[in-house]
Amino acid sequence: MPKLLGKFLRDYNSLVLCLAMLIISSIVIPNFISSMNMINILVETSIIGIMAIGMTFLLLIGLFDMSIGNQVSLVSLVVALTINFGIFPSIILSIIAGMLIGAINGFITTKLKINAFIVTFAMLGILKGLNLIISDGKSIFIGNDAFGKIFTLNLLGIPIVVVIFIIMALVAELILRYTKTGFEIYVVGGNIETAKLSGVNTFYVTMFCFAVSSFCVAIATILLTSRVNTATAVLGEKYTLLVITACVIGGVKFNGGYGNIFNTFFGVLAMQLVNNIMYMTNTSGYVQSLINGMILLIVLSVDKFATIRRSSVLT
Amino acid sequence: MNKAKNVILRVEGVSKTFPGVKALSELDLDILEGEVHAVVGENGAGKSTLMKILSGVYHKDAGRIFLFDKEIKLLSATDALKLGISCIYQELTIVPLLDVAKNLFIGNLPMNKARMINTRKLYQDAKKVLETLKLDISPNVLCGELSIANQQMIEIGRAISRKARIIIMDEPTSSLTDKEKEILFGAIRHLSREGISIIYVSHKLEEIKEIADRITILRDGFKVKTVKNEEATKEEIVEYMIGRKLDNYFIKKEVKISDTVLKVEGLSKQNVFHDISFEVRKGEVLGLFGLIGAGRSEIAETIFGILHAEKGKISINGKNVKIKNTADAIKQGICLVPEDRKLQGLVLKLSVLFNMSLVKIREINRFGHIDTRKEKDTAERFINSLSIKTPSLKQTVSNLSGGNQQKVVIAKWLSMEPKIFILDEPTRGIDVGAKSEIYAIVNELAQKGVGIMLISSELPEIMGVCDRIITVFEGKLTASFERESFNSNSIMKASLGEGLL
Amino acid sequence: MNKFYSIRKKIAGINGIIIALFFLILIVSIGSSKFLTTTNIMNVLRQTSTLGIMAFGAAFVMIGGNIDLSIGSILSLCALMACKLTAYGSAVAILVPLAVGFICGAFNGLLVGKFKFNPFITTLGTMAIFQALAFYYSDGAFLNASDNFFFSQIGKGFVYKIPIPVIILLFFFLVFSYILGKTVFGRQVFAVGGNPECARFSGINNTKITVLAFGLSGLCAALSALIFVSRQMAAQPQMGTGYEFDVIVAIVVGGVALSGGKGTIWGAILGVLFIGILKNAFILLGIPLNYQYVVMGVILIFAVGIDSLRKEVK
Repeated sequence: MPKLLGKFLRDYNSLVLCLAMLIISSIVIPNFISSMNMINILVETSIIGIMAIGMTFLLLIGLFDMSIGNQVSLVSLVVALTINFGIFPSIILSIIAGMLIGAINGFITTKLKINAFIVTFAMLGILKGLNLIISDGKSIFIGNDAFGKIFTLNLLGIPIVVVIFIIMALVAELILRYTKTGFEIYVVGGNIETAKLSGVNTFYVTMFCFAVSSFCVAIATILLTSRVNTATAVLGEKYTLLVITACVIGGVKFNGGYGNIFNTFFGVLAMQLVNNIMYMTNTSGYVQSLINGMILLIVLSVDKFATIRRSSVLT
Repeated sequence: MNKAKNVILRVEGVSKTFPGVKALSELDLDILEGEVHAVVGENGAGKSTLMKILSGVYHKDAGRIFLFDKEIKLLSATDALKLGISCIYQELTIVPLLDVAKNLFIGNLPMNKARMINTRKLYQDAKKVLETLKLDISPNVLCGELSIANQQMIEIGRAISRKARIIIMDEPTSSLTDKEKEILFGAIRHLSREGISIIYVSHKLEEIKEIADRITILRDGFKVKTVKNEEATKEEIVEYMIGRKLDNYFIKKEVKISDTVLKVEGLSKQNVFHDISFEVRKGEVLGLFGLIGAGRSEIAETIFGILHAEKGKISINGKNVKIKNTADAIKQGICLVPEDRKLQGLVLKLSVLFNMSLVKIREINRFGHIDTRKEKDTAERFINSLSIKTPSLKQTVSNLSGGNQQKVVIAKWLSMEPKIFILDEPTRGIDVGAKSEIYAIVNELAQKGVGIMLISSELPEIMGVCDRIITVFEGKLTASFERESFNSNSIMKASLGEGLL
Repeated sequence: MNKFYSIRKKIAGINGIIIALFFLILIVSIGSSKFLTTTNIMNVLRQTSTLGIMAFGAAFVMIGGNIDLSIGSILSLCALMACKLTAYGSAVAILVPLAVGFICGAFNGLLVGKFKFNPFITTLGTMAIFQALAFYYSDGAFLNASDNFFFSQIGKGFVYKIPIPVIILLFFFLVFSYILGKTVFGRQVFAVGGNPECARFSGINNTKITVLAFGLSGLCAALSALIFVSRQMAAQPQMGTGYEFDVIVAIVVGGVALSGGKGTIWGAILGVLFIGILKNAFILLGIPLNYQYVVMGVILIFAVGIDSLRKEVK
């Protein structure tokens, strides 16, 4: 019996964590279960969750994209710049822009055989400059009512962000479990020698994962931008750390992840609940960021997740 | 057992040379359909080279290979797989986080029209394969959760799913218990009845006698003989394996052997080695002989402080010592030339000088400042005394030949003037010239009164160099031999587990 | 093919950075008459001094096979501390931030060295933590340093017309070159970065070396912080943001290998000089600062790409 309990805790640790946080929240915060508050938390969770879905694909093959924070800013700026062509075209263009960055990252990583961390780190810098150039350091007010309405849509009372997250999570799970590419992702992540011997095209798999990650970032960004109807060069700065923390909490491991979107979602939710507790109890903003950083390190320690050789490049 | 079988695979005159070493010489071999064909030989006899050529990993230099009487070109691993030749290595290649069914069909997943995996067919086919192997495992279980034995069976299952006609198995029972071994043998027999040929590479004579139809013995890259199982005894097989005259690589000089410098008592580490006790005396060369994986390196690494034993004592010059890490060991005068010089012995991207003085700098410094003059002098002395061929001290070590690289490692440790010197497979992958130079170094050290441990899996080497040999089998000491009573057959048998202390 | 090989090899080696530097100086001198004036050169050197000292520490970490992204945050934190502590005298204002910098670095070293966490992810996390601490320490505000002549001289003073920061830079250049090249510690850093297994088998305590290397990196960030604060006599919580990027580009361009085990302090300073002159060029040639980031990112990829191709050629 204790063995089963242990296994249950390990497989669904974030769900357990989540429930624990829910209980703590309802004790510490009066009126916690007021629907407004929960919805806000769910929305924020979903945005990070969508990005985490994409990041999971990369982590499964042992890679990582450090530039996603700046991709968020870029995508929002592209929306702002192209909104005059119409909402639909601008959405398409911004998604393409985001995926282009992902493709470049993937290409340099595989073809030039460079450590993905440093490639995406360099891209981070490039995008930072690009974003500032495009926006001239100012916020760009989009002010398109129809676009701003996107964020407020809901399906049977559930905010559209959450719906999109759930759909994307299901699609991702489908891809990973039932398609050849999903299967190949696990093979590459699990044992790259086997992958090569079995004729898996590692270049394609890498490009695919980078593209998926950037696609998810783009979708999340469009929703985020719609909420504030503004684009800035610094919109996405905090997201890199948040997304990696989310994945770590969700138990995704480098190389052959214990990759489970379900786990990631509840992980993010738990994190947001913690942030919410701090917000509601008027903890200073600095302590909040401190806690967020510490959560990452604590989970790392608990998980020994980051025990991967630094140069885990697909060659 | 006696029905007429066709030749399914024919190897004719295959040779393969590596720099400095001729791994295979004009090898002829034929494999019958549905037979279990064992290939035996000492380390370095050419077994693994043969396996790698047949599975497409290496290219042969000469000769031809015929499959069903048609000549084939094995240019890559995927070529071999497509032709129906599967190889199961000691290092497992299953993907632990995928389930059994997916692991069985890596490389040939059944797809449906929507470009999705046809899960129904996948699990059906998986069940069929599992039945063939009489495995009571659900296809939905994650492979990582299976025992090693079952993981190995899944590898065999994968070969079956690929419709392999020939399955090569490399030391398949190395991590199996007796019961698991029986299951494996059952599967092998079943496959053999189905007309699938098994090439079974192993050291374990017991098992070979149990499972093989025919046995081919390799020695120094040549085929000695192919015999039917019933036609040869274990003793005869051993003789074929080592039957050459022991060349004298050098003349062992008389050395005065004095007191015990290293004494190991009751050293045990769970699942690695058990109750190891032996002594090394000043001026003596003690050989540790056994199969790869028997635990010899682990014993050495424990003495050197890299691993920690759970039980047992180590004493140096009569005094009990605690060795918690390599720095402790070095302080006690113990030095280890590790098994894998590229991975453990050298920093390949740095220079000869750097590598040679990496340990010595702890001594030739004042408050951390390295005496570079002394460093250079020491290095140059060793380049001369060990005849290390390098254009300069600044040469990147990766550019040196294997023999010279090994000499750099040896120089690194000799500069510490060890009291106890352990060498783990020091001449592996080194040409004959460099080999004899290394033996000369060992001899010289012995004359200086250093206690030496030589770990080797080459019988002529260990018999030529050592004063005493102890054999290790599956983590236990099986026998001890004095030089006067060195007998290649008995030593070999002891290392294979026959003949307990 | 052989000719290409040796040319490629040379460009990829330290001679490469010297050639690149030469061309850069040439181009900038042609592009702007103001480049080779004494005031401008002194300016560049002064800017370079802060980046340079940080680069020395970062070089130790990278040669040891790791990377530290949190040095920018450490700089901010230590700068703020120095500011507040000038009220207690220059000794306190100098020593305490140095100690804090070392401790922050050592903390990173412990996580990466002992627990074997991925250095990118770990220092991404500690970057946020130290940054948060910096905000917390100053309550988000600008801090002004108390009047303290000695302290202010660090950044503003001159000795025989040479700015003190440059002297400090040269001093530490010599010290760190010495440590890296001529001490046991330096060799062991190379060993741990070049082949940690071999280091283990050679009696080296990998954890200790990693902790010390990271600690040194944090210490260097703190040193740079002191020079900064001394110059402006003020500090704000985000002043160090982005420096890790400049430093990493600088040392990689200067020939410190990302994979560890190779690099020199001399290369690091040349790389820093390259970046410093590049930034100066942007200002002189009137190119908006934002393009700087893009160019540096591309240069980083180039530099790492050359290193990677070098390995291929082997």
